Formats: sequence, structure tokens, C-alpha cells
Amino acid sequence: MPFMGMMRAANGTVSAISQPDAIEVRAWTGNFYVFVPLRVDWSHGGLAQGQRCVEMFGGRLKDVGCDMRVETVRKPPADQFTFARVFVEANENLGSVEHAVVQKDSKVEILGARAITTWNENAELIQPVFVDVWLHVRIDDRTGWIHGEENFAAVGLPGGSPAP
Amino acid sequence: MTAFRFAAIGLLVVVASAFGWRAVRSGMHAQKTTLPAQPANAQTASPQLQGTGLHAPSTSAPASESAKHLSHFSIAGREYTIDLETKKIQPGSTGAQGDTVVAMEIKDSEGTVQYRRTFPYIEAKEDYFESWSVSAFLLTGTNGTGLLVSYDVYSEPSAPEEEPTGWFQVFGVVNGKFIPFGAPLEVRGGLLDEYAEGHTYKATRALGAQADAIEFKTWTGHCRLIYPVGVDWAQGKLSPAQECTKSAGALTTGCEYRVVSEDKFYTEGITFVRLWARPDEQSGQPVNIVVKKDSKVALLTARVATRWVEGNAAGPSANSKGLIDDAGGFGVAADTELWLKVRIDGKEGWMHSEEDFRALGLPEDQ
Repeated sequence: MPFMGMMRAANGTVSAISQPDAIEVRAWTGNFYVFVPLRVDWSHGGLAQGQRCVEMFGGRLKDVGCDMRVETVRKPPADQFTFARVFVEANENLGSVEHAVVQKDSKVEILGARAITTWNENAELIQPVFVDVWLHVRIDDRTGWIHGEENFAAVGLPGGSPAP
Repeated sequence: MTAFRFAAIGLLVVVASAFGWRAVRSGMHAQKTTLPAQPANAQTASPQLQGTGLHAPSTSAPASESAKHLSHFSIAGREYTIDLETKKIQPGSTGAQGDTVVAMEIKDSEGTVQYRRTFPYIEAKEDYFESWSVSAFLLTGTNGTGLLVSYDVYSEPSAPEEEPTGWFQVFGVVNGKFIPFGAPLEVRGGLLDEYAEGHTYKATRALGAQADAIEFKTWTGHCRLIYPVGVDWAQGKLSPAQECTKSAGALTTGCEYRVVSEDKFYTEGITFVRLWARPDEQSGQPVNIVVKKDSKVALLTARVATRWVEGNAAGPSANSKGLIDDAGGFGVAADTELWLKVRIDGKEGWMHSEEDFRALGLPEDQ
């Protein structure tokens, strides 16, 4: 599930103002929080996308994921072993993939996230929508990128609603 | 054909090649041997440095050439010999040198040449060296007896390979005439130790009343499957003993082949592989199986499409200067997917992707 966050000025989801004309909102991706930058457009009295990442593919610009800070609350799996496919790049078609077995005593570090963020406007709400969500992790001595529900769950981040 | 069964059997195994270079170079990639594809128990000459080469009597060949007259063999009551003409490769700037086979002749007891094949001779250069070798087995089956000859080329520089490419050619007597059973077959793999006994390579089983199956190993990229070839002693022809070809526009999912067991898996620590119940991703969710360094892993079956290419029975082209250009061959078809059935600590299933092959630590070319 790509999205799920929303920003309401009144409910405290705005967590920080990092620059005079930019804010960073904490938004739920479905498995963890990411901090998404927004730009305050004073001249038009609104908010605008704060970050867009593109790469050149075949002579054309294509949206790719931007790196974001993450906030996670891990729930270590009950199983003796869980399994994660760890990619060298945040792209299934680039580089190799290694198999990591997550054990109860494995050291799991969440290093960051990458996703393409778009914003839906609905009446007075603007909602971030995340696609191609990747998580940068270190599992024991193996560092790389994971994505997909099964792999997020393997590192203790199963899908669900944000904690209250 | 039954006469073949009672043929007096004597045989030879011949190897003549540029051993000097091989001996010097073999230490560079000991685990990725590029030696010829004979089974380990074939009678092959040990690598020798220059000056201690094979002691074959010289003939009237030029000083730089010599002939190796080899022991005779007998098929259907007739005697045949294989002679090799070899030539010294002059040292390049690296100092590498040795002998290479430039021609092979199979003669009958009267000395009449029944078959002749030549091999290219290339002077050693600063950055390239190439030598050819020839070896032979008596091929015995339930329905016939013949000769199995292999041709191998060794070159430097060459990338380390899990299996080198070689050529195999079968000869026999049909209607009283000694003939090749088609063109050589190019194989990335070779013969199987289990069927080699001394100088003899045994067919694995009879195919009807006039043919036998012989088995080769062929490299798939991660394992060696066992490919059976039918030898029709009456018609003097070779063909796949297990029909399983991939033709344009009619892709097959392949056939199942036995697999040569692997001695070494390149695993470290703990990992996992995904196993499917059947060789089809649509057969359901895979099961993740933990693989540890001491896990017991057995390769059971490979399912893959293979190809069989007929060679040019008319022989090499007149201006052939390179590899054996009349050869046919067999092996794994291009653009096909390998499914491998494995047993890991008692759990069986099918795996098929590069990431799982690597996770299991299967060998691969560098």
C-alpha cells in the first residue's frame, strides 16, 4: 500500500520547520514513517512539493525516489528466522540481490528510505502518496535496500496503521 | 551389428599437446581447470615441460614436426591406428612453448587412411598461445563398438571456466566401412567419469536393437546436466537420446535431466533460498529454506530446454583456419530458464533464479 499519510496543520503531524520557507512532515507509508519536505509558497499562499528527484533515462527525465529520513517502531518477528531480499541498489533491475536471514539476535539498523512522493489535493486536505518505497537497512553485516511487504515484515515492520 | 559385440578390443588413448604451457599456467587458476574434457581416469599423459615430451617415433616430417604412432585398436575384427602429426610451437616473448596437433589420421591395417582431420597451427605471439590435443576411447555398447575421439584446444589468455569447450566425434564400421558418425559435436562439458574404464567409454543403455545411449555432461551456467546421445550403429548416426529441443516460435518449458553432483558450494554464514513445489512460479508461493555452511545440499534434477545442432557431415570448409567449423553440438538452449530441483537438509523443491543459485553457492563462471 503506497500511501497513507496526511497532513493537517491542526493535528500535530507537522513535526518540524527546517527552513523559513520549508517544512518537513512526518507521514505514514504503511509500514513506517518518513519525513517529507514541503515548500511554503508565501507568494501564492500555499504549500508545494519540497523535493523532486529525477534521472535521465533514454534522453527523457524520469521521476525516481528521493531519500528521506525514517522513523520506525520495529516489532521483531516471533519466528526464529525471517527472510529478506537485500538489493545493492533501490532498483530491482540494477545490481545484484543477496539473501539475508534475520534471526532473533540479528542486528537490524534502519538507515533511511527512498520513495517517489506525489501529493493528492482533496478539498482542504493534501495527502502524500508514496510509490516504489524502499528501505535502506543493515542486517548484521549486510547493507542494502529492501522493499515489499514481505521484506518489511522480515525486519520487523509489518504493514498496518500508524501507532497513535 | 552383433558382430561388434565380439569385436576384439584393444585400444589407445592418445594425447599430444602443448603441455609445457599448460604446466606453467595451471597454477594460475587451479579450481577452474581448462584441461581437456576427458574423465579423470582416462589415460592421459601428464603435463610435461618442454624437452620431456611424448616419445613417439619420428617420421619423415619436417624437423619441426613429428608423428605420434599410437597403439592400434580393433573394431569388428579389423585393426585401426590413429596417428597424430604434431608441431612445435615456437616460443613467444613470454617463453611459452610446446607441441600442438596439426593433423590426425585413422588408418586401417594396410595403412590406408580412412579418416583425416587437420587442425590450425598458430605461432605463439606475445599475447596469444593456442594448442590442440586429441584423445580417444574405445566406445562400447550393447549393440555396437566404435571409437570416441575428442579434440580440445587450449589457449592463453583465457578466462577461467567451470567447463571447457571440446569436440567429440564417434567412428564405427557400417556395412563394412569405417566412417565417422557425422561431424564432431561441440560440447561445453565432457565425458563422465563413471562410464570410463581405462581406455574404454561405456554406453549407458541400449536403445532398441541397433543403438546405444552414451552420456555427456554439459554446463548450464550453474550445474552440469547429463545429456544422453543416441549412437545408431546401423546407420552411423548420432542423435539426442532424449528429444527436447527449443525451436523458434515453439518454446518448450524444457526437459528434465539428471545432474552431476557438485563437490563444493560457495556459501558463507547463513542464507536462504526460495523453493517452489514445481518448476513454475505460478505453482504457488515459494518456501524459504535456510541454508547454512554445513547444510546437506543435493542437486537432483535440472529442467531446461536444450538444443541439438547437426554438423556438416561433408567435413570442414576448404578454407577453415579456425576452430572446428563443421561441428554440430548440443547444450542448453539460448534464452531458456534453468529450473533446478534440490534437496536441502531433507527439504526438496525447485529453484530457478540467479539470486537463488548464488545464495545456494552454486558454481558459476567468473
